[in-house]
Amino acid sequence: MSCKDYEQNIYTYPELSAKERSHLDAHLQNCRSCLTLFQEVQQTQQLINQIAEEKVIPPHAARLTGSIMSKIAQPSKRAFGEWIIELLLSKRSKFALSGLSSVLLFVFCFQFFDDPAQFKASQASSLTNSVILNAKLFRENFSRHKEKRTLFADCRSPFQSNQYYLNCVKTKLK
Amino acid sequence: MDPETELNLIRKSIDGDHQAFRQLVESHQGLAYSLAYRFTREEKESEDIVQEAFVKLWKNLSRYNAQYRLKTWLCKIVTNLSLDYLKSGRKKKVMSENNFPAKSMIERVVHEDELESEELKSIVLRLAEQLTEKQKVVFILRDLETLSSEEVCQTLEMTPGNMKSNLYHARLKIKDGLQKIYKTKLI
Ligand SMILES: [Zn+2]
Repeated sequence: MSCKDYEQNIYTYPELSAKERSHLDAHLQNCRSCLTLFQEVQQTQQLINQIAEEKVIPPHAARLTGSIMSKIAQPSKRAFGEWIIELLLSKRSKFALSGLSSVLLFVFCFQFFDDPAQFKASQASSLTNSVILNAKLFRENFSRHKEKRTLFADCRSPFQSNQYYLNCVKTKLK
Repeated sequence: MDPETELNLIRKSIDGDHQAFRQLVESHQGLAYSLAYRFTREEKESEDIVQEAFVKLWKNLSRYNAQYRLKTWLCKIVTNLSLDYLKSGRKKKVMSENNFPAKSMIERVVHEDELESEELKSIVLRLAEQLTEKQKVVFILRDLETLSSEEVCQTLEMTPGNMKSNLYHARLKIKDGLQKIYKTKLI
């Protein structure tokens, strides 16, 4: 091995394996120029060690901890995908969809009654029935949703994560 | 903090225990701040980086791999945030204008009989600013924050050979930079 081959190891002496180190030590005993370089590197490293020993401490440690803790206490913004999944799984969607279909049926029905030429008593009564049925479904979903809301109210906490809320709801549903 | 206590606190934090997380913050924020400061050399920016790092840690804690110490994971987050900051150009212009070799500093150094240790240190820090990104990261983690070689490799996901090579170039550049100043002084 030439002197050039030892150069990197001279600079990284503390990182060498025992074997590499003894190899280099043996060379340093016989090579003046490598020994000089080794000593120079050691001098620079001593200076760097002095810098390392000067510990950098946060000037306002307690305030720093405080602001970190208040940041994690804020409920995190929900990812859009997560929100959609929760919405589809919830009773809220059923409630919304049955409400919407009731409204559409009412609109359709009134349009139908407005046009006497197409009016047929049997059709009208079946339509009225479905409107009533839809309204009932809507009311049921609504009241069930309200029930659930009060049931899960204590799961909602600004100090807990969404995961905590979901877990809490899951336990209650069991 | 011993590894067992740490793991226990991490588990509690994953379950949403804020007090457990506070203990983790209190025992690790010093290291996080020091590391951020070594990169940015700005107090306010370092505080912001530390806050962001712990919020990230909290959000991703469920993905914690118990094989590693929290320290290396935190160092990785802080290092990445610090590098983002250095690259973003948010760093004050004053700092880059002050970059070594500043004329006034060399003149001052040249005219003194002996290099003051404080000046030497600030020269080393300025030389470190000139290193490539990888060299700088390895130098700060290994030589200034005195992490073990294994910790550095783990933090940066670097092979020991790669780490050693970067460390070699960093130390070489700093030593050469210092020597140039000595030579200027002798002329
Ligand atoms: Zn030699």
